[in-house]
Amino acid sequence: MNPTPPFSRRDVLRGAALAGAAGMVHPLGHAFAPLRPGLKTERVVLIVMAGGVRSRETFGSPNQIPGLVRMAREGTLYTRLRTANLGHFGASMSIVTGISEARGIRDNSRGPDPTLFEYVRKDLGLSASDVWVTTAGGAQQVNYAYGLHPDYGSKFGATTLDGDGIFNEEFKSTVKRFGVPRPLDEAQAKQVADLRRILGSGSGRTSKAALKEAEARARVEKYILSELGKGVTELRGAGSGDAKALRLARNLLSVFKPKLIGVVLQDADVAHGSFNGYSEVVRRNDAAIGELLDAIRGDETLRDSTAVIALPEFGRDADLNARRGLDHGDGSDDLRFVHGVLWGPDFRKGRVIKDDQRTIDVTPTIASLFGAKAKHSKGSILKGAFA
Amino acid sequence: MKTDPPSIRPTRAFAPRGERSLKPQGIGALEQRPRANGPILRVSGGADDEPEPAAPLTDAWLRALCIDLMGRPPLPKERAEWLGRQRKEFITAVLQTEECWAHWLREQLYYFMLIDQFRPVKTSLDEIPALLADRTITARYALHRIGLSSSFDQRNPGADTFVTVVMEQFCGIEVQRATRELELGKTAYDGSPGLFLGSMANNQSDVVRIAVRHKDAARHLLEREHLRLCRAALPRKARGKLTRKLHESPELFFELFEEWLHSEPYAARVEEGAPVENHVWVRMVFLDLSGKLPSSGDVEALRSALDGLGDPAPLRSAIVRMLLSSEGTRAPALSELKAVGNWVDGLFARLLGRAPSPQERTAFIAAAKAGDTGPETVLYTLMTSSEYDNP
Repeated sequence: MNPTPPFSRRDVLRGAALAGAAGMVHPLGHAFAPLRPGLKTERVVLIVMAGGVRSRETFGSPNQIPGLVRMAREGTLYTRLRTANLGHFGASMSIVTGISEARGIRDNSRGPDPTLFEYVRKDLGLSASDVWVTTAGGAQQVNYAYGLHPDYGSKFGATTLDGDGIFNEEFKSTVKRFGVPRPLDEAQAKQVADLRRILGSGSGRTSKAALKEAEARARVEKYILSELGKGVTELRGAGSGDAKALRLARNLLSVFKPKLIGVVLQDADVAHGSFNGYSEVVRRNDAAIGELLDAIRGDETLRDSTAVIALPEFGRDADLNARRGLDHGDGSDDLRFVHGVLWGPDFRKGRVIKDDQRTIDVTPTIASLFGAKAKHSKGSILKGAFA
Repeated sequence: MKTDPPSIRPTRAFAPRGERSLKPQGIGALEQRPRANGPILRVSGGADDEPEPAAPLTDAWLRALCIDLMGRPPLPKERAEWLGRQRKEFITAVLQTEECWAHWLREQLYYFMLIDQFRPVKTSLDEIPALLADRTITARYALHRIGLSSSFDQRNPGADTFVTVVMEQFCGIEVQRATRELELGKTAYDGSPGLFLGSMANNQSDVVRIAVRHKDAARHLLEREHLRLCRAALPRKARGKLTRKLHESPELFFELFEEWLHSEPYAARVEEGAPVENHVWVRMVFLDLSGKLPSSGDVEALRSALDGLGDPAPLRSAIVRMLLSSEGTRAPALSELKAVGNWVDGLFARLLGRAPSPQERTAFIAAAKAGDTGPETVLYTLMTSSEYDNP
């Protein structure tokens, strides 16, 4: 099904034309806010509670998740989102592409389809520092940044950071031992840029594009090195990978104020061997999501213009396994359906929707908030959530 | 930092493989390894369009072969010893080294995502490179050992995850299209006998054994190894025949592997350059700056950080700057260089595998002479270029 935005493309173009006439920098770009006429949303945080989280341990145990419960009270709660049960990698990939992606559990490669991040960057002309993904699952999850579709791809990808991979004691101490790299001074930077133009000249890359890319990379490099000295590295214990991904998202919101941040968690998968460990991860993540929302509520530039959407990629089995843990493969409703919450200035408040929808509907829904079109998505816009 | 790895020595003769005694490994019979006789299994076109195996080793070829086969650039003494000699001689020599198969094992562990907390440390898998180097075991047997390791079990907990990963990673089966086999495998994993992929399975280790020895596993190994080595898909035309042969005679993997290094697709890979994994890049940078390999702790810390980025370029450039200012990997000062022109020529050959163009040579010599940090600027520019990242 081709997703139809609740607001027509003509509305977007009219808004863009007005913005252009008003002399704004990019008619469809980030200088024009809000991004859709009639909507207040300027930025979105998508939290994929990957690792497999059952509804029984979230909205089935509301005392365990006060943050998500409050978020649902102030937003719209879907109680039956059908999941694409394709293993963690494929199921999370499906959420960000809007297509059920059959991918191997340990596949470590880009998908064939464009992601939400590419749709938004391309359609709105956003820069790499406007769209981020923070992850908890290591090398594999950075593949969510972009796919291999010829019309999209790396040039529209999200800037992606794996919290635990980068901000850990081992890397921090390695950097400390060798010495924190000093930035290039202005003269050196110019010399490097000049040499790069000459090196392998004929590559076709314009110096302007190369310069822009170098500047964007320098910003990311600077951010990583500054963040390394802060609190994210200190987070430890059960679920620390998820905690780092969520903390990074919070920090990025305050530093870069990006238009779109995807947060992909993973630690709930400890459930295979430990139900208690899994419950602890769910509680810890709920607390971190609560802190993220509190940070948004407390920031006057964010609170009336930021949407947050949270959902697991799939649930877990109905019954405990022999190790008193929870696997994911029994085909039960506990596995196939999850709850999802949409919170923000354009979503209805206190609404509970019990109709069946799909986790792949999230991508076209977020794209529509931005006035972008998820052209290849098979999902539908979650219209019932809009105020 | 570690000491120098042993450099590649000229070829020693193989003992006839069929005559070697086979140590019992306790995981079923080891593969029998008669020497392949009959025609070599050609993957690409006829002999006329094959690259010349007797062709001399250039800097580009030596660098690419060392990186692809050992996960590091050539050592200074290897450049001195091998440049200009026959490619074939070098390839044959490298394929007999433990270092080559240690790199192969690292790549396989990475493929199975046995990294970070799941990385096997000081386990019986450590003996695999030596056994592969003298061809006591086959690649199939090595993969079997990985599948039976506790790291693999911990990485893939539970029947559904374990059997799914075994089917996907060993056989390349899309599990969503083979749900019945998945259920049969899960039943066997839980200890109930049943047919899995056409063979009787009673337990978790049977699931691994059957998958590893399945014909699809031979096909999948060929496809992914050709892609890894040549950065090109295995030609469809050759796939069926090669799969059948490898399935019947797993020891042919060694011959195929060697043959691919003399093939057109591999020549194209050397000509065009190819991206490398972050763990290889870390070894490249250390060795290119210091002539020595980094410790495994440094490789892991930097690899893990680089793998955590969708685009590792910003962090790669920070790491290069960090090393250029650090003891042991520091860039030379201008005053330490005797002949700047020779130094620039040498850097291009060593780091990029080619000579500089006249324009590049003039510009880089001028930059090197621009002040005491000139050499650092030159090294930084070369080592953060896409040409360096795609050796």
